[in-house]
Amino acid sequence: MSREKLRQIFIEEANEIIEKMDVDILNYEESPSNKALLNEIFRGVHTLKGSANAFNFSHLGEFVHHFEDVLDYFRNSDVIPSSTDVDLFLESVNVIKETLCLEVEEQSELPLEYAPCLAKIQKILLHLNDTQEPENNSNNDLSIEFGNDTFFQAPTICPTEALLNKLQANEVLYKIILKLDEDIYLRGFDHFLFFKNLSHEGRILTSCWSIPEHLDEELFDVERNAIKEVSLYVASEKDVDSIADVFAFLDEEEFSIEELKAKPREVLSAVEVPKSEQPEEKEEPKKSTIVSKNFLKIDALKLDELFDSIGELVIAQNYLGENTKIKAIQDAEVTKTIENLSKITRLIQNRVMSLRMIPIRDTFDKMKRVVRDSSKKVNKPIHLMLDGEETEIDKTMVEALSDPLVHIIRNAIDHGIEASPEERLKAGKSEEGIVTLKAYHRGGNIIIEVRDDGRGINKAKVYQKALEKGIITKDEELSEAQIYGLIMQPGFSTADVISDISGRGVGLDVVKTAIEAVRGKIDINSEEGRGTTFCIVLPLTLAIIDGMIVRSNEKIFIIPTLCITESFRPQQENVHSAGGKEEFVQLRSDLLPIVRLSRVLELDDNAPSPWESTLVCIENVRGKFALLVDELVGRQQVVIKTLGGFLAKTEGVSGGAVMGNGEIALILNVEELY
Amino acid sequence: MYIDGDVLELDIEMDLEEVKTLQEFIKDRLDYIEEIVLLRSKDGTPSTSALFSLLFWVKRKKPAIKIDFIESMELNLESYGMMNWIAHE
Repeated sequence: MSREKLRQIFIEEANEIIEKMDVDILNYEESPSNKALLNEIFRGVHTLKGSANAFNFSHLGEFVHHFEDVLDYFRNSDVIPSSTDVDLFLESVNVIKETLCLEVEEQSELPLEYAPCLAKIQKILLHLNDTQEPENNSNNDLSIEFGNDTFFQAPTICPTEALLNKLQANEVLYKIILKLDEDIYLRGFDHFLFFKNLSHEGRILTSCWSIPEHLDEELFDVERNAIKEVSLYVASEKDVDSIADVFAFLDEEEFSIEELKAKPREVLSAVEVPKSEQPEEKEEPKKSTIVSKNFLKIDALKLDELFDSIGELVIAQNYLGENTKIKAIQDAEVTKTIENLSKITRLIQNRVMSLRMIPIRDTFDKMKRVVRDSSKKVNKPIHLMLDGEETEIDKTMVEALSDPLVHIIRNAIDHGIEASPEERLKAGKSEEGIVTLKAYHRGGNIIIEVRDDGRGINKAKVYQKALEKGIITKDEELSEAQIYGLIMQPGFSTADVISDISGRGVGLDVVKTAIEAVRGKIDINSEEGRGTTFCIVLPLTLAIIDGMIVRSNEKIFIIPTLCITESFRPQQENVHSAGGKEEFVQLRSDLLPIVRLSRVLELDDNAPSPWESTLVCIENVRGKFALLVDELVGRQQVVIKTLGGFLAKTEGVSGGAVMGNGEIALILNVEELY
Repeated sequence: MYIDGDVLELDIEMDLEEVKTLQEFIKDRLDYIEEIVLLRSKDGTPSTSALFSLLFWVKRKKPAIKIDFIESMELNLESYGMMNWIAHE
């Protein structure tokens, strides 16, 4: 395996570790006595540290090294991290994320928060060094505990491999460790005296200094050396004896010299060894309480290819079933075989689809951090409740869902929940605002609800604001759902004060666009004084949709059933015309505009009467309308195919599907029909 | 050594005797010093590690004081390479 490939694996795994760390820290905050969870966090940081150094991500390596020290202290003591400590942990995870991104892009600069956050960590460590006895520093035992001592052969800040790369021809890299006694200055020596003499023998590349000890004494004695250990890395053409001459007047215990050589094989093997072949980790109780499953990592691209092939298989199978010549064969065995093939195809299709399905738990867990951060930012105590985390959802959908959920949750906390606990108490609610995230299946779709128990949406205010902003006109009559829908219009915001996290009029329109991009939709329900629910309706998968097949002008079209509320054939007296052009149909108390599919797609000028045709009631962002088609053919799951560059921008059409008879049917984009 | 308002500027090349004097100077004025800056002439290198120990002691006495290399835990010493400070190795 090439080093580049290994690097990619490291980056991928590092991202997974960081994401998990975020969630684990929040869970740990909820149950601080759970040492197993803290060990899990520590394990992630520890792995990250080793791998970062092995791949020359030096800034990341340095940061996680110090972060690891802090975690190590807490896991080995009875001290429970305070809320400020947890803030620092989470801040550190942010820095780790950003540092990784910068180092992946091979940029030399550091994240803005890198130095301040490191300083805070150092501050804790400085305090610990003075109060903590060495028995609590268990770093030495880590290799035994985790079985990956390979990563500990080089000091974190001075990765050997990076230094070896800096060597010029004929140069050798020496690691010199100075452990000078307290009386060194009185003996006329100094660390920098040796630095000076070494600089005549070669190039000093870098040095690592232990933070001075015994600093808590009231009057620190500057004449006594407080620096326990200094490691120097020197590139020199001289031999080891010449280097040793520099320290001729020191005691043997006060210095050591080591010639360093590249150890690439060891580093690579540490990454390459499959988990099952790694040294046994015997101390099960020290590992996480989270049970690890037997997973196999597969490139998502390969799954997509498999999925496409299954799509082709479904089409081929449908073709067999619909083929008139095959149907004409009056043979029970042939019929049985085709039926059997159909069953097996459906079984394979379902199983392959399930491969792409993952529980929504990870996405929900990420929202804990969003809630915590937002709650602190606007200073409102919030409790997040999760329900239905096991609900499975297409992986592509998960990725598309994350940002919209963040927006909605921030919006709920910022605008939905009352401004202060006092206001909530006055309204007869608990001091703590409650935000609920719930996922479940309904009618072939996945529903994700974000509910807050806040003040609800003030319809009159929304309506007024929309009027002021010219989003609606004065004589426009809107249903309750349409009024709530206005808050997702671009540039709309009823927030009186613009806060850090929302209220800029951007956000909810982005949410709507993002959800619609994955063929989903959002409904809003609200009750003033009781709270608001954002209901995201998503199809099970992006690759297959449940479609209503309709015929218009002898051509077959597919309408996603998610958008259809009902279909009907109207009575003649319920059809009205305005100015001889616009047609409307009375459906119970609603007057819906009639949109002729043949006219929108410019298929034919032939205009059959609505009462002799079928009207499909469709709901899009602008409201409901009745789509006039010749007839309904049936309902079917169809594999979506893209139309290619030439037809991609055809108005009213979002894709195509191969039908059982081999014909292509166009999938309608209901947003562009009216 | 030069004090400009609440900023104390130090020459990185000061020797042990100067560091001892510096300690006496700082100890009486710690309340008034908000920042310590290390100045270095071209090719200037530190003479004694005691200077750094003293600055860590100062930081310990007054955590709010700003000392750049302690904030970042590193200092580029040019001909002596990068100096990294670590809690424990």
